[in-house]
Amino acid sequence: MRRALAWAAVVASLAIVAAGVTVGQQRAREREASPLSSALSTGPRGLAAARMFLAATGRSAARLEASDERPPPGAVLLLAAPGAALDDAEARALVAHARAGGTIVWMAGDVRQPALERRLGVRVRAAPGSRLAAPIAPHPLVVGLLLPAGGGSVEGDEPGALPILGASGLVVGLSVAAGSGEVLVLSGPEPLTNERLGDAGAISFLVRLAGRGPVVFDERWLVARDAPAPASHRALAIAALQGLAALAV
Amino acid sequence: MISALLAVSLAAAPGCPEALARAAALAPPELADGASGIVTALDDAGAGPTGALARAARAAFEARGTLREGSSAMAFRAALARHCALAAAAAAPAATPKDRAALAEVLARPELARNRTDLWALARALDRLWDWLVELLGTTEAERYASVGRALFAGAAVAAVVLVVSALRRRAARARRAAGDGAAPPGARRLAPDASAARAEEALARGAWRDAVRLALLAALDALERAGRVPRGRALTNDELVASIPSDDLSALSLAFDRAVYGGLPVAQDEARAALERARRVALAAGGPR
Repeated sequence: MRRALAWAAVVASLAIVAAGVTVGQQRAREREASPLSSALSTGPRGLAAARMFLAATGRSAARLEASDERPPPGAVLLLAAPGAALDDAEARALVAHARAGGTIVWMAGDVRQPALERRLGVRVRAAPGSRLAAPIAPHPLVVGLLLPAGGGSVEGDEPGALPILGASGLVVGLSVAAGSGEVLVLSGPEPLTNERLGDAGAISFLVRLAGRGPVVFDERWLVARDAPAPASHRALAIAALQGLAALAV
Repeated sequence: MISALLAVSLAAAPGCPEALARAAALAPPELADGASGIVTALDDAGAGPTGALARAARAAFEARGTLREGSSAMAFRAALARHCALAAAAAAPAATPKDRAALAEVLARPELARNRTDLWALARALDRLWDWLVELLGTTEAERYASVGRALFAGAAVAAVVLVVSALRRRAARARRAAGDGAAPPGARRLAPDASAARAEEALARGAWRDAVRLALLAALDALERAGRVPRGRALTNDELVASIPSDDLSALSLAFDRAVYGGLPVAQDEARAALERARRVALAAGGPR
């Protein structure tokens, strides 16, 4: 009897490891297939579904792509996982849009944004993962909603940076007051990605954003300024680590 | 700006007028202590999620008595004012059924449908399991179980120590008994002190000369053993005994013993009497009459 239970435990452990390897591999492949959070991307991390939804429901859904383009006053600017680091002037111009009454939703990506962090007095750490964030302040954009979140976190140094979303004991969303407008800082683009727009209260979040003004997908810094990034070997690294984990089990 | 927020808050947010008034009335040291109570009261009044405000209260409490005490108190007041302003604002409308239907139609499009595979389901399930375990371990019952468990563990440890000590003592006793058993036969078989001498006298009295000589040597050996002059156990031969203890009496006694016991030669009364006399002198020389 004891031997049978031991074998069952071993089989269950191997099944869990195999499932983890499969899911991890699939996830890594999908991430590589769609690394950009673009309003044109239909991959898991893309925002095409959000743009299509806004268009299908008669709401504005513009894109900013050229560096000399400017958002209309009062627009809700979606800055999703920019691949290039904004310089000081760009960060200042961006925040100026909020000061003038607009709303900026900065959804952090893998590329650090020191200029933006400095200007807003926040620290951002993006990380992959899948959690649901709950509101921790009665902010009208998130109150009553559970929102998809990644594994990252955000911290604010200034008194004006109000934590509004939390998950697993970490703050994953901040509201930073700026003039007559506001900057929302999220630890990742998960609430609006194709993959998770249908989860929990994500669509209500988008609807509430659209209720503030015309939504603009700000893709002026979507792609890194440097040469194209080298091919990712993340899937291979993950496979190797998971193999080691399986051997250890 | 703050005044405008206060005005809005006083108008609408439940619990906010009292909270703002209380926070304004308290000096920084008192506010550091009372901030969490203000948050609790606000929470009870239903003024929306208070997690962020609780963090500010905790920061104020941790800063009490330090240089940051004043700024932390101000930060808490600012957070409270912003909280109340937000709580007073009307909640933005959520997605309507029509919106959800539109989203379903969008997500069902072929280019997007593949994204709906829930790749993180396993990770989320493991997260939920972990959260459940953490919550379970954080309950009062778990704490009670933990304290009972500690008591049980301490009792088990004490019992284990007692058992080990007891086992060691039993083992030592067995070892002592075994050693005693091993040493007992020679001692038990050996005559009691002075018995050999008495029996030698008795053999002489009844005319058993050979026995008298044999017992006389044994009496002398017994006296030497008891005096520590020779090792116990009669491990030495008579010649070795004589060689190790220079004594004419012992030498003559040993010779008489060999002649009578091993040689089987006839023993006269005078020889037997002389053997007893030599045994007495050997005993005297060894440390006293035996």
